[in-house]
Amino acid sequence: MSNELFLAGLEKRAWLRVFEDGVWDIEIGLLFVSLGATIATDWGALAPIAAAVLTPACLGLKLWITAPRIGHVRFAKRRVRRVEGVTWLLAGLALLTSVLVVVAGRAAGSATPFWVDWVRHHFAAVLGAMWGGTLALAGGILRVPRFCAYGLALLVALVVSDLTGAYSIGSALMIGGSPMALVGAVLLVLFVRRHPRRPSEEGADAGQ
Amino acid sequence: MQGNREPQRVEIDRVIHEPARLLLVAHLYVLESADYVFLMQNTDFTWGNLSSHLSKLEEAGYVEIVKDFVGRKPHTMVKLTPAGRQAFDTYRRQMKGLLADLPE
Repeated sequence: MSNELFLAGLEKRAWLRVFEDGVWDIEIGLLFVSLGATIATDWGALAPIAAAVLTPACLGLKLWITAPRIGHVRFAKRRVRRVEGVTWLLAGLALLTSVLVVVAGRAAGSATPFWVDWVRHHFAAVLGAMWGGTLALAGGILRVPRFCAYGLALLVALVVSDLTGAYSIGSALMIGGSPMALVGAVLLVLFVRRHPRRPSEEGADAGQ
Repeated sequence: MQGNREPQRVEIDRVIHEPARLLLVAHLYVLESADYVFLMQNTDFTWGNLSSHLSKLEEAGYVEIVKDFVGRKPHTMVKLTPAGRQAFDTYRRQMKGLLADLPE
């Protein structure tokens, strides 16, 4: 046992430990990469397949890699409310994106409001503001600063695509998503090295 | 007269006062519940040490130990009882008061 008592910030350290494994970084990053690849290759099935595979795979990583190393914890209502807030935020974002795609996809005509034309012409920047902003906001709500940096990176990649036209929206999403997945993979390797598997309750009981 | 005032005696809860148990109770105070592995990871206790301290806290009625199975593996969650929460609140108040009264 350590002889030092650090009681202040104890809950915050426990909370941050949940994000230390980089699993959510990998999932979010690969979702953006797959979405970008879907747009870039016009193969519409790629993103839904990736989403269907990635979510159970990441839950599996949490169950088989993370939980035996740092255990299970349930946080107090204050933290749970923050997670619920982020879930609602993401649901709202999905709805807003769907509406935006439908609105921007409508044929241009004389009766089209000016803002629809503006959204159509700056679709990459609008997506960047919405998705990058939401990711940064989620990072702020969850108190995980690197998610704010991911949001900013995604915003920059999409805005540069919009302003310069140097690369497509699909490429911008892949550029924005790749660093998240890479950082997540590095964090996962470091996490596995730093935290060896703890003896299971079965093993500990047998040893006593 | 103020000079003759009887010094106030404070009964410190020795179950919580022990540093290892203080650390455990502090963790459980700020979390809803946690399992053995999480508590070991965050306190650097060995399995035997953790079991022994949790047993003492359970005997005092300060923690509730819930055993169930995840798949075929045993899984134990530990939670602070209302009595444990109240005892920790009292301990905090007492220690604050005691240390605040110390002259510089």
